Amino acid sequence: MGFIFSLWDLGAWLGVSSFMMLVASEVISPDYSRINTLVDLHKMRRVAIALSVAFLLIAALNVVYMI
Amino acid sequence: MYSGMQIVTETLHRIRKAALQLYTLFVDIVTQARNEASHPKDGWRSMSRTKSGTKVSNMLESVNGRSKQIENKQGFSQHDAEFMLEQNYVQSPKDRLWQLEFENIYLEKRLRKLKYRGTKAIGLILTSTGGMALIISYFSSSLVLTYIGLGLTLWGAIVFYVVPWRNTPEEITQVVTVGLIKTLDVLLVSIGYTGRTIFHYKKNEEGQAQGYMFIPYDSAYELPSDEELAKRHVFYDTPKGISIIAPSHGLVELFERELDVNFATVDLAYIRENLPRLLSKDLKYVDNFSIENVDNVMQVNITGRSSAYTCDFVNRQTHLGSHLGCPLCAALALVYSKVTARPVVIKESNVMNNSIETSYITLDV
Repeated sequence: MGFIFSLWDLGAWLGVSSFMMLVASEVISPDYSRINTLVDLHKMRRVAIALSVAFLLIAALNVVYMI
Repeated sequence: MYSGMQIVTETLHRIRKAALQLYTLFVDIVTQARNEASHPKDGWRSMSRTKSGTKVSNMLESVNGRSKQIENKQGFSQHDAEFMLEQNYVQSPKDRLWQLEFENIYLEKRLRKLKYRGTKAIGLILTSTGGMALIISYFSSSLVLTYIGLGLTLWGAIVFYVVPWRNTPEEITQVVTVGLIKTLDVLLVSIGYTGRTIFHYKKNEEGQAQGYMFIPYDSAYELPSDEELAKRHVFYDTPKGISIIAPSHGLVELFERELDVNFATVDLAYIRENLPRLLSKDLKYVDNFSIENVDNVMQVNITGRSSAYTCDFVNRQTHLGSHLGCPLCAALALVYSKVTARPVVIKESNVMNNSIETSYITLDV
């Protein structure tokens, strides 16, 4: 019982997710009129940056442990 | 042996009884379905029970009242009486028109709901599914489920946070804005205050919280003293004029909120650097925006179809338009006034080919 992934796994997942979101926030159109949905790309970028910071913190923590 | 036979007989009897009950139930269901299929107004009944069909239900209530009368008089069942009356009711062209109108209202409401349902439901589903997956992954120690849960929770949260904002169509904002400016223009002209509008912030207010417009009676560029302005009057005698809260101050507040800054604490270099990005990329209010500043004159070049249309309309259709300013020009005058801490006047505003050229001057009053 318990989560079997390590902190580094979580960091890697955050890194990949943030990268995808950052690319998406730059590339995609904010308006998808077929389903009448608008995406606030500004907010999306903010979330992506927050996730990137979390990833960098975890990476830094790993480096510190390794040293 | 005897008792065994008895048990078998009793069991068979029970099976037969159950089969009969099932058959009766089946016949009931089929009869009800046939009735519903042959009854053209049942769709109406289901509609009248919904929240949207209030008007329809009111109409049906009157039918119900009359049907009860017939039921009592002629000995029909209520269902049949209702059916008869509704048939008669629909046959009249006027009533048929009413029926169609109500149906139209109901369908329009449903369509709007379906069209603008937002993303709350999908966000909730994603988040809750992700949460469940995480809980299950914890108890079953499953790595795959953990990743699935993390992904779903993240995207659910993002859908909540990122997606649900809506835009108002350009036509609506233009009509509303232009209407308000026109009203203000007619009001000022009718009471004779036709001087050049002075945009300013009260110096005694902490952090220069509220932007004002002072419209002089004549062409003098003068403001009442700070003590007089602190009294928060609307009409002033020396100099004669009106001081009102600038309608475009809301835009200035929006700019400040987006940039997370108080314009009273920054300089023009900051404005030149950040305002174009905010207006063109973040808020998408204009296509292109640039500021030049020489001495006490600020020249602004704006490109954008929507804002150019509004500005052009205000300049052409109103008497005070060119110096009262369109919402964007007036907001920029307030920004300039707040940054320089001096009153500002719109010197000139020209609109050409979807672009606006507006110049502002600061006053030494």
